[in-house]
Amino acid sequence: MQVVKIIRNILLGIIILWLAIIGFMPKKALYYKLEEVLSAYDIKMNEGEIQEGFLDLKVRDITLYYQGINVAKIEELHLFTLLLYTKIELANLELDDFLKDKAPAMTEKARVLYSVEHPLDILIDAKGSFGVIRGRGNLQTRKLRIDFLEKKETQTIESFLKINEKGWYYEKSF
Amino acid sequence: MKKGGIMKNLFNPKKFKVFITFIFLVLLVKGLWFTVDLLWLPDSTISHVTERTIKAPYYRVKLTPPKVKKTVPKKPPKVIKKPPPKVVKKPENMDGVALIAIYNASDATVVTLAYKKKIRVLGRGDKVNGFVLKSAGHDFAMFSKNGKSYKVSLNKKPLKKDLIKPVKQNKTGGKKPTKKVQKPQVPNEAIKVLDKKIITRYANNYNEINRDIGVVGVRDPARPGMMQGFKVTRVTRGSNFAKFGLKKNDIIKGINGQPFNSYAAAMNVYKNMNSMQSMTLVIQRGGEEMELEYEIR
Repeated sequence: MQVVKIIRNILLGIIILWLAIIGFMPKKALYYKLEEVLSAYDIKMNEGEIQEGFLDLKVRDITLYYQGINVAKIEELHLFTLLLYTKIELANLELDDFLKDKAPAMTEKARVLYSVEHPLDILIDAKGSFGVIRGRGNLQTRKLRIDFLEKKETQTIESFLKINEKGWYYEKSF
Repeated sequence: MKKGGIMKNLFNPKKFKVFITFIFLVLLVKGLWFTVDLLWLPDSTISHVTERTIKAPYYRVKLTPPKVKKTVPKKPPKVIKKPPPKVVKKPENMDGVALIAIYNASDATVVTLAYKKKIRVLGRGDKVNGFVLKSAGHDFAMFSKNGKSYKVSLNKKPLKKDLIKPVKQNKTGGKKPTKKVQKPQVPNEAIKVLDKKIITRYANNYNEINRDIGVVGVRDPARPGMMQGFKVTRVTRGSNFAKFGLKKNDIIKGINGQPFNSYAAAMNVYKNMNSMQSMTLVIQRGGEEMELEYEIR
């Protein structure tokens, strides 16, 4: 009976600790840190609104600049973390006009997922003017592969794609 | 639970100890995050400051060869009412500086000058012969030197029509305008005429620019993070850029008084290409700076 109580207290302690780590995490400041890191690569993000929740962070109306040039607009960026499960979602990413003949102009939804279920993989899926894609980046082999489940306007990026019996895909080492 | 059970639990020494431990854990985590936030994390956003897209109109006036005026101007000198700097209108030591063009916006002032047979593009704070550009108005620029202010007016002589020649005429050996003064710095005295359709096509199709010309940014060693301009790495033979007179290894330093000191400045020009009625490219070729002028029709 005493052992059960000890185990219960330990579990309760872990849960409280875990919730405290996530809850007290300075998410807004970490987002600013991300901006600082990106600015070293001449990437800047101007955001309209930052909303910090207990487990998540929502950033709305982002304008993305590369070397001072407006390259894209993102309606919403949603970061959600339980530490063991982290998800980044983008909604309505629209490239600037001058890039529209270089890459697909619109990404309606994109999701990047990291979970302890697949500790060595980062999962990606997205839907947009290019169609529907699903991908996986392996942290061990450092390879990224994105499969096109549905292919639409991809003329601008077709030279980067490969095809096999399963369909079109993109592969790159990182 | 019995009456008074909560109070009994709370003051149960064992449970109270567990409760205090949890509170301590929470406070510890909060303290750790607070320390991390305080020591390593920034407290404000890094934003890109967007340049104003509405720009004051660009004035292009025919380049007047710098003349040294020996006579004192008949009109009395204009004096600005602000007391500290004494305003002298174009005194003898600013002679030889001809103001060709002004670009004036709230965030930037750029003037183009002719001085000692060279074309100079100055931004606010830049110097020519020790005179520092302070500001500019609709048709004048204000300089300062040794605490005094100097005003230089824009030369508003209209363009001579016989100087406007279409590109084809130049290529097929049409009549060249007679040049009284040999000016190697500005070889294209004649203004080339560009078809508006070409500009519109380039403005709407970035890939076509890439196909016809290759450029690479040239860093300015004197100003970290800034650029001198864009170096032409290739010009496709027979392309419009070749017809414009651009050559490999030219450094494009500015356009219509807007210096190409960043990728953003170049992109800003690209995005406003459609609204241009004339175009003046400042380029550096073989160590010499020169201007290429175009009328867009």
